[in-house]
Amino acid sequence: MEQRNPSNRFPLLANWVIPIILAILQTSYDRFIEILPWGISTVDGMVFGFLLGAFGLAIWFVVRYNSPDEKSFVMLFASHFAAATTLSFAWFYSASFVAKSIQSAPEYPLFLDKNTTSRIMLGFFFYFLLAAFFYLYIYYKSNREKLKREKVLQTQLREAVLRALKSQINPHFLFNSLNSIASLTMTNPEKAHEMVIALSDFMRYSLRKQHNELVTLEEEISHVRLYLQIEKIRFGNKMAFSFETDPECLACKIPTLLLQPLFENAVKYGVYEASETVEIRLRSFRQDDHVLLTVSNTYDPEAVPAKGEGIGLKNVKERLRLVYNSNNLMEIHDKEGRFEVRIFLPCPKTEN
Amino acid sequence: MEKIKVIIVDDEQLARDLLRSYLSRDPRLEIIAECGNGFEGVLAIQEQKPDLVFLDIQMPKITGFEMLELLPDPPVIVFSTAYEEFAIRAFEANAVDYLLKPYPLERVQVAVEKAMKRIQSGTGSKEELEQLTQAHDETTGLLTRIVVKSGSKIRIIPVETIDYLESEDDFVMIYCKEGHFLKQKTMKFFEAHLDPKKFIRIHRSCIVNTTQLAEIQQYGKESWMLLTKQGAKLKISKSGYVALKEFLA
Repeated sequence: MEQRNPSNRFPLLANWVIPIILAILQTSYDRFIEILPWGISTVDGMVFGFLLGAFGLAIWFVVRYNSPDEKSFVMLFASHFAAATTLSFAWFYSASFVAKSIQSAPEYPLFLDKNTTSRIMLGFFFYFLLAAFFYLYIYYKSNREKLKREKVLQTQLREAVLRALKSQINPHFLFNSLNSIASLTMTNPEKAHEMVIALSDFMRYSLRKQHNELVTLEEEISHVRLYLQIEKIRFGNKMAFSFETDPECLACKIPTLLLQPLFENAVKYGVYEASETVEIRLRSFRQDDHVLLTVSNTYDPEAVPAKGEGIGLKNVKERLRLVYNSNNLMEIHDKEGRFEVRIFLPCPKTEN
Repeated sequence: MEKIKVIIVDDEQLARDLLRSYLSRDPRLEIIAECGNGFEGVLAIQEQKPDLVFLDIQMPKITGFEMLELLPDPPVIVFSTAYEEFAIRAFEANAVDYLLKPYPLERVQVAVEKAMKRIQSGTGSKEELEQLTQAHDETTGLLTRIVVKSGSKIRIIPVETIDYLESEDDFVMIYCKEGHFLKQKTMKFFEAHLDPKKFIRIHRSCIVNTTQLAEIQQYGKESWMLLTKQGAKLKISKSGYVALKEFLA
């Protein structure tokens, strides 16, 4: 048992603590209160104490196979009472037998007869004390395991959520781009060539990155640039973009594919809905141990988007919360015809 | 033989180019206009009366579906879109066609043949278009806007500016900040597609925007009236009263 399940060693060792104490107490009681000679006191204390420990081991099994989750209280009490009775009597008579065969002093059997009831009562007391202790121990252990399992589950859930939040390649974007390429192969093969390469690089980056990977801001920016280049081929003069990045921030590590959804949002609500040119802008600079990224776009103030607020921005916010454990890393500002998303990314200076 | 007049409506120049290069190979067709958004599309279709329209769905201003809502007598329509978001089978079952971008020449030729048959037989495609629009309605979520036509102008009404809607025969009259506009839809449609957290059907013939609610007055034992902030008086039915009370609780 102990070898198969080492975690059970503790209660079984603990099981011996009480018998050893009992052995010492019994010996002392016999010697000093009952004034028996040392020989009788020692044999009496040691034999009864040792066998109590041996019978105590049996209690562990009774507890193990009588889980309160599976049995009714009455059943539980009945089986423990039966076990307590059996073990107490067995303990007393087997200990008496062993002790009497070691210690042949004539007054010893008389002493035992006198103490039969109290010894059996002691057996009962010990049984229930230890059973209670074992139950507590099992409860404590399973509770701790439950907590551990919950923690693992939570981590797994978090990872799954992160994966889902990571921007997926938007099928509209993909198929519209392919359609543009189909068109360009006829009218402007060189441009088609350029677009196929941009689209391939874009897809490679999107597909390659692990969901929890950190990349440099520089990598993210060049990915976003590809995205905008592709959309620019599709929309021509309907969109313009500019980047203003502080070189000091470029080496900062940020979650992969964090920026692209922001630009996708800008394109979706800016460019898709407007008939005039929409300007998209990225700015990044350092603020103490944060990097402030702002992605903004102009939009047609009269356009009413056919679909409500995108889940893209919500996903970015949720991702930031999960990765950095902070809820206020993203701000949205909308004024004077310009929609702006600000992101504060923790990035200690030492990282540079 | 007279040529079939075609209009292409798509917001992307490259998409229009491709379609034009496909269609120009067919001597029976004549492309009379290309439009870059829904507004232009509606005007061109009304003015130039094409026989056949190739129509993109996602476009700035108004979508291809919203365009169709504004045309009382639409020509034969072939939809084109990049991604099958909605009941594509509904389209496949119909004579009018549905192209998925990017599409090959052969696929466009099939669509053209289908459309030719439809045009020659002279039967209107209105019924099928209605089915299509309905299939689309079923897959749309909550409305953010309603597109209406008043005179020759197209108006986009953001739903939050609506005060209330009232049924009027086969139409629904939309009362909003800017006036009132008729729309050919059912109350059932609006009840299903307006945010139930803001809009409540207070009567068989009336849906009200609860942000515009000013007062509820009781008239008889089981008769109530709702006053809007604009001063309109609307009848509340018994079940409407229950819904309203539940909302305000």
